[in-house]
Amino acid sequence: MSAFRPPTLDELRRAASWLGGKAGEAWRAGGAALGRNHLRIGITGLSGAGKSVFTTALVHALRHGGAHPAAMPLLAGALGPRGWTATVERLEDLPPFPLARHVEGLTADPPRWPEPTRELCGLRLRLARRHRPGDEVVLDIVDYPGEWLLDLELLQLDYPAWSVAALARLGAEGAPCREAVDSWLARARDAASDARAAPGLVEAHGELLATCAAAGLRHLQPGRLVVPQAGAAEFAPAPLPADMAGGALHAAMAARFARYREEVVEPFYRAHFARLDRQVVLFDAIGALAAGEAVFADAGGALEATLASFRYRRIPLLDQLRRRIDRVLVLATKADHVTTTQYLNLRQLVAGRFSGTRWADAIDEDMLRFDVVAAVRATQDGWMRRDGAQRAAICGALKGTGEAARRLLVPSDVPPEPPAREAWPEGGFVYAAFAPPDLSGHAGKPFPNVNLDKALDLLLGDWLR
Amino acid sequence: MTQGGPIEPGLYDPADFVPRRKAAAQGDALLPAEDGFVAAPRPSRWRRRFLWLLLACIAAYSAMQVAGAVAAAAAISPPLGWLSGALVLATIGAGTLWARGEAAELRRIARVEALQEEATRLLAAGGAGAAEPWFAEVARQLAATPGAGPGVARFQSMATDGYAAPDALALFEREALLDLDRAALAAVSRAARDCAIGTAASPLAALDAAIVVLRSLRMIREVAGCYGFRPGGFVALALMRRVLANAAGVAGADILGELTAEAIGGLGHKLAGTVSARLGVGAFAGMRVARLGIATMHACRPLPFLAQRPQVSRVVGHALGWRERDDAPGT
Repeated sequence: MSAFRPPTLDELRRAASWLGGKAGEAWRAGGAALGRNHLRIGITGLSGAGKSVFTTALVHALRHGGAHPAAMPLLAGALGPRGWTATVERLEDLPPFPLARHVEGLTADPPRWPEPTRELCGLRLRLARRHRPGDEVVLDIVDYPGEWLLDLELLQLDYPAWSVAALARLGAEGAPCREAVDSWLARARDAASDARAAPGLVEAHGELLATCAAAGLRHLQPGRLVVPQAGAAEFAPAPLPADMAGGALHAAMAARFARYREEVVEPFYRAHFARLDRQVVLFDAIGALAAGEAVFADAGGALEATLASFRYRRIPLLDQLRRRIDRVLVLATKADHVTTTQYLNLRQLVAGRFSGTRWADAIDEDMLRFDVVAAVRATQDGWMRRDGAQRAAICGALKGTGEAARRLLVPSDVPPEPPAREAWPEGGFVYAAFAPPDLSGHAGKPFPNVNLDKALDLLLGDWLR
Repeated sequence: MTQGGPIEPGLYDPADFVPRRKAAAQGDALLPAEDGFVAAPRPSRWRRRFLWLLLACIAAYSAMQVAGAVAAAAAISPPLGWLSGALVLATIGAGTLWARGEAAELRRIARVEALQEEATRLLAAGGAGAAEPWFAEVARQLAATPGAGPGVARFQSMATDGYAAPDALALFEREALLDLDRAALAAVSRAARDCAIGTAASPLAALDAAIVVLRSLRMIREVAGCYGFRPGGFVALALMRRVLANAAGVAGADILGELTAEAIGGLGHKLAGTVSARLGVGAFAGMRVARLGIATMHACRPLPFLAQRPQVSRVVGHALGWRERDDAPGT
């Protein structure tokens, strides 16, 4: 006889999570973003990920692609085969993205890469599709430093816990500037009972972080000390070791930490981040591989920390803040720095970091997507052939030289997953930075690229169709 | 510089560089070998030998007969002998050339299956540039097709080697294959209409069958022509054989679609409500022909349908004028 028995706690939990999942699906199907004609996307990435180039190329392609649909074929599928027209406008609430200056630099002779954007800026695009006259869509594009996004982690931690984690990263084995960290710590210990030393120490910590950033490290906090934000430095904290707790300096730093969270981090997310519908996160996996094991591990951690803010249904406060974002597209940039045969591995190298269970629901629900991209393609793909031997290779002008000085590069094979310490190749991974190609004929049409249209289709395709 | 040694990562002189695009266009030997193509299981050796021997017997017998006839003609008068000899040789020559053309065409048709398997593999896990050999072969196959040129050229101007294989294949379908699909579906639609009306009007059951078979063969040749195959009699028969061989799978998918259509009161409702029983029979004949036509498209198309499979009920609906919107049939 089967008697009725009350459900176990585990069963209840599973039922609740199932219901939660259905509710989330319904929320997205109902369309936070779909069915609206106005979308706001954020473009971010840590310094050196290629943010300015990506934003410039993306806007340039949307602006001029309508007249040359064949140049962006995968996007033409979403925007209509008959093309579209786009006008660029300023955003009322943000400084303008210097589009004209960047395009001018790229199409100049000799071409120049855009200078990095180190502030919050944006622009608005109005897209009119020829096959749907009268149905105009508006796309706001907001570009902001990924370093600021890293600060989101601070909202989940208290000061002692954050200090331990931040110092552990700076002093990790193989980290490139441990000596500078040690000397800064020594200075902090000397002033352990002096609360007034805090501003000076924070300033010195900013210099220390700049040194680390120059050495390639990216997972640096507070992010506003690396990429300054107006008015942020006066609240910025610096981490102190746990054994200094109880001292006046520690108390002062903890107070700064609290104010920094309240007056810098949270307002930024409320004013800008919480208004985004979709987010592009750029990641320079090739540059990180080239810089060596310590930097690669650090960059991976930074990427994961960046994306932690998008993690679905995990952190109540953040969930409330980022409720609108229904898609995050992670792009491994500078794909043209390796051969086309390596793209699958490159994608897997980045996506593999998020294969764990923590991310499974986001990936299942299509919230998190990955691809590789080169916003401006600086190299040509092919083979090197010599004495009967052959190997996939690329050809282009190295950064800092002219078009005349084209070199052939046989790049290292990209590993499909982060290599173990002993598998790290002797002499490191061989990659190179390239100068932009001659784009003088592209002032009025999309730049040559790798997968830029595919990336746009992944990001916006469902919304545009 | 080591002679023939492996090339290590590093910077080199650009003189040793071979661009991918140029190499691909030249059909360069550097392209990946076409391995991974699975050969169909071979029939019994003795069956093969028997057929060849039978053919040889018939050929020897006919040769003797013909030689006898020529000799008899020569015995009547030498010029007549020369003339009949020349006639026989010319006939044999023409037959050989024709057979060679058909054989080449059969081989090309047989390659389609391999191309489809390769495309399926590329769709599952194809990196950038992995589909280049596939495109080169399909472009060669389509070169003879009247309607394919602009689409293939459009695709080639759009696609870069940076696209992952699934994206490139989807782009190829959109730019190059949709036009051909439209033409093929129009041919299927015409054949379905002819068969539906023909069987509805024919007084004899045997005539029904003849109409359907002859019209179907013509349709198969037309559809094959749309995808770049020279439509010959043997080619149509060979295609018919392949189509029948994998019709079961296609039919299964279609039955599902039609059950749905009937459930929502589409075609079934129209049939039951508005058409007489005789015309209903005709419509079912048309539907069978349309199914055969779509199966032929499956057999001739180098790529499985990605964006949208053609549906039998929509093709028939279009052929019989039941669809309100006058867009491309079946899509």
